Amino acid sequence: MQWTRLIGLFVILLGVGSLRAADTNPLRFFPAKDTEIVAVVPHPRALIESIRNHPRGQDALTLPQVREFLDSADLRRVFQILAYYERDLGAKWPELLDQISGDGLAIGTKFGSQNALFLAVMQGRDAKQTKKLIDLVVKLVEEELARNGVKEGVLRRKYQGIEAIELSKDLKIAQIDEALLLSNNDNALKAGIDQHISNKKDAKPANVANTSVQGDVKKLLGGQPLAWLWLNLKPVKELPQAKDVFASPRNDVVQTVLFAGWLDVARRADFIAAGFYREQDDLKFTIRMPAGRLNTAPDVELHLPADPKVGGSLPPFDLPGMIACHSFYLDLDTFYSKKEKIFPAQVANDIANGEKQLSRVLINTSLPKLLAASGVHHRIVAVQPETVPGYKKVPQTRLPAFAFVTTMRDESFAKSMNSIVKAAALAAGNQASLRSWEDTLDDVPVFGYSFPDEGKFPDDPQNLRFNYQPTFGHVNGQYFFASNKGIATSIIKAIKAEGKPKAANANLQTAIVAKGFSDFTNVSPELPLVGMILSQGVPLDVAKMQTAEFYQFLDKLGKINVKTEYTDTEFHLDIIWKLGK
Amino acid sequence: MATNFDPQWAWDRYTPNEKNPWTMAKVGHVYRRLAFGANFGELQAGLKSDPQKLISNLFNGQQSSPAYDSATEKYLASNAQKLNQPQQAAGWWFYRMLHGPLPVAEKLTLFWHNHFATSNAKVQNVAFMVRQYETMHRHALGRFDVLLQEMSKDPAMMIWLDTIQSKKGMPNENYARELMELFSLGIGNYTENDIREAAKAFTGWEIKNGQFFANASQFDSGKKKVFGKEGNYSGADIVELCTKQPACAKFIVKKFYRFLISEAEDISPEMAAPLEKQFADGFDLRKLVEKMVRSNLFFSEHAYRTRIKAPVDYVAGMVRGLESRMGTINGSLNLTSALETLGQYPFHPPSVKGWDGGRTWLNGQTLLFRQNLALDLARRPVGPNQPALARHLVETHKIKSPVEQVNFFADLFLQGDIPDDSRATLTDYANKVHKQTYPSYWTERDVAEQQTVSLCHLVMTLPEYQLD
Repeated sequence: MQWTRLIGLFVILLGVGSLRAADTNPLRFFPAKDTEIVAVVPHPRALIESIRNHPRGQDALTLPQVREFLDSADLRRVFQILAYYERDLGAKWPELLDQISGDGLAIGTKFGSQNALFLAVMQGRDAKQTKKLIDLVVKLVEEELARNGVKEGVLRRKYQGIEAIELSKDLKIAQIDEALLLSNNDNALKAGIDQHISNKKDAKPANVANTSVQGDVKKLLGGQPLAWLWLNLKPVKELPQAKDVFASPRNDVVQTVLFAGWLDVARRADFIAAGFYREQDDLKFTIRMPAGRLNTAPDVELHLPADPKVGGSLPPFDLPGMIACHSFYLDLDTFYSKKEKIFPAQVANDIANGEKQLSRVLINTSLPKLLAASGVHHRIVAVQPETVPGYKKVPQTRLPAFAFVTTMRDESFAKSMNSIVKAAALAAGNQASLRSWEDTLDDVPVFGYSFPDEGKFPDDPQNLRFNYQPTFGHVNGQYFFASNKGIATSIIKAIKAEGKPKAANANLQTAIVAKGFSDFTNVSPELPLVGMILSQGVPLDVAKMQTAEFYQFLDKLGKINVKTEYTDTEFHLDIIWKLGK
Repeated sequence: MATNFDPQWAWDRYTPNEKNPWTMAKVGHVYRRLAFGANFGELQAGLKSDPQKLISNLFNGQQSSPAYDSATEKYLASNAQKLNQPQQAAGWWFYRMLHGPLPVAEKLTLFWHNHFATSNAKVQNVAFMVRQYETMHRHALGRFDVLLQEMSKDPAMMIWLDTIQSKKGMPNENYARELMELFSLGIGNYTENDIREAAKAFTGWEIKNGQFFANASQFDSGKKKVFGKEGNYSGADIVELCTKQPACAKFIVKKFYRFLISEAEDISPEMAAPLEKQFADGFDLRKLVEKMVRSNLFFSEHAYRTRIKAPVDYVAGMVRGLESRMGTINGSLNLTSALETLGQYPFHPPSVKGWDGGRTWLNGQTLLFRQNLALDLARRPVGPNQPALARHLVETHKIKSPVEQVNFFADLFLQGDIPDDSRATLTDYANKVHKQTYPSYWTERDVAEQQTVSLCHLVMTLPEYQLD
């Protein structure tokens, strides 16, 4: 019966294996009913090394400000302590980190706790090293207490047969096998120890490791996050101040217009999960909720098309000198035409009355008509221009140019908008001495307004007004307002190059370009240069060199992309930092 | 009560003698009163020199600190103006005080800044404030009558004391009042009527394109009766009339006495008389200052440590003593902000009367801040991978044992002049410092550095170090 013995051995090994897996989960110390937020770093060493070895992390170390910070008297002490531990524990910090928290670090807390009680668990792989570490820490603390003339040493007490050590009023620790428990509160530490006792006694102990938390988070986040967070939304929704926010329909028009989609998924989701990843040299942070397009409230239609095929948002522009572009879906026609469904009756009435007032001043149209002709895809873009065309005089400081671009359901939108702009400009132009003009940019007719070159503007001694030249026009079904002709030309070219753009599933996309931001700040290089001299005490030539290095560093930071996306059952908010070269 | 000395003796030039020798304490005294403290090398060189030569050298300008760079300093000034950044302007001026080639001029400019106290809090124009600084710096050792005329037409002053609002038929009295009360004569030497009449002479004074402009259409060209004399006076005439009052020389001599000799007591009329006579003849500020600081009285116990260090003197003295090249607006240790916390933020005096000074510099809060700042400076690394400033200093000067270090720091910051019991306590501490327990994780080098830093800090927190 060799085979049965083999099977028996296999079962035992499997049992030991699964037991081992359960025993090394730091979440087993957190009582399920009292834990509402959990943050976990599965492999602390991997997290630290991924940041430490990141190319821009390495570059940052060469910056004088960072060097000075790392060499400050206080941080020197931190590095001294680290060196001491390495020496006495006989291992370098990466190895030490594996020994004392190789199987994870978890921190848990509860909403509404006074003074934010927390419990942290470092799940190590070497109980002896953890014990040695605790002894060393206690020794240092006791030495420090003695040096300060405190007669009482570190307080040690037994609880449930486990020694709890009070290192300070706000830090208590206990070792349980390979795990090190830390807390800022006696009761929170005791709860961790109680859970440990319960784990040993009960067949199915009620700890977080035995709940669906990990499975839920893993399913929602996917991949291998370097750190993740779980937040239980149920207790949040029970907070009195949250009731109005999560109500449907909601009284607050502004909240609805700005955040209806997010609030709706939060209302329907049981939890939020967040994860941090490094993928090659890209860093990604994502927030997700287990609720998506299905069963949305009526107000979500403002931000999300009822038909997914319509697409969420157009791709952000990629213009020369771009600082940032924000592309989003917003259906203002729905806002008005379905107001009775979206808002309570009184709010809907107020909106209708407001429309009547506004429509009186609109020329040849009404607000409902205008909204019905407006599109759902909008983009706002800002660039740092190299030059500002259109004026003989140049501003002393080049300010960013910006534009707003929106799609149209009907070309009548452009006609109506042009009438509105021209009427408004006629009124404002007298005050601001604006001059109107009409032009053709890249074969597209545009119109706009300019400040007179010779006009007197005593409140603008730096001629900053010459950064601006409001420009309006439409091309390929998209209406645009640009702050000057330069960015208007770039927009026209970009829209033409897009052809008929296809909207992505993401209903919001933002791109922030470090190079554009760097160009923007470099328009007034004096500010960082003077800062460098006065902070570092270096001469001008050295400060110039250091400032140039700082800008090179900024330029290489690449791009940050933000997007929100809905599947049928999930909501994703991703922030991805893609490095430049 | 003013102590009455023989004026002849008091103002005669000090010549070292057996009873009153030239000592390191006196070198330190000169550097504190005429500059912003000395480093160890300057003290040693000063001791080898003689008092009159040392003072001449200070007046003529010394070799600027290695941290000073003229192009950098000019760049800072121009940008503070261009960007209208008051903290940068304060940082720039403190840079000049710390590292500039002519600390005497900076010190006296600071004196005039307190005399013609103008704050950017109201002026809101850094370019005007810097220009006012330049005017005061240019005339700090020049002629007072010229300085007073230029300050009257200074744009920052014209905004500060509302001269620009003074119109024909609606004269603003602010400037006329402060001209007499605070800038030239002092209370009791003019009447309310003098102020009212004088104010008419400053009507129509405006700022045009950033410059003084006399708007004739807004000028009250009628007759004014001031100090008993009647005339069709202009503003410049009023300023001249003020300087011709006997009270003017008295007022300025008295103020310099408190600044250079002692703030513990006023100058007696007998002692003041020869100085007033000399000053009234040409208003030569350098002559007046030199007369005072070269004198027997200046080098006597009646002048020695008879002032409380102003924040600028306290902070600059430590930075210079520790030979630090640090920036003045550093993120981790912002010296300019420290000056503000301690109550002396350049370009921002609290009122037209300037800083009260003296005992008001010290209270429980500022004293604690001074002590913490002293520690932060002593332990501040010279640079990446370099020791703390205090440790670097003793290593540079090859000072070994803790007792030697105590003596070194006592010489550097207090020129060895500390009470016997303080020295005994410090020496006792230095003798026992090696017996102290230190955190186990410290290396021998850390321990040595900490010992040096604590010894340096102890010396800088002695009560005597708060005295100027």
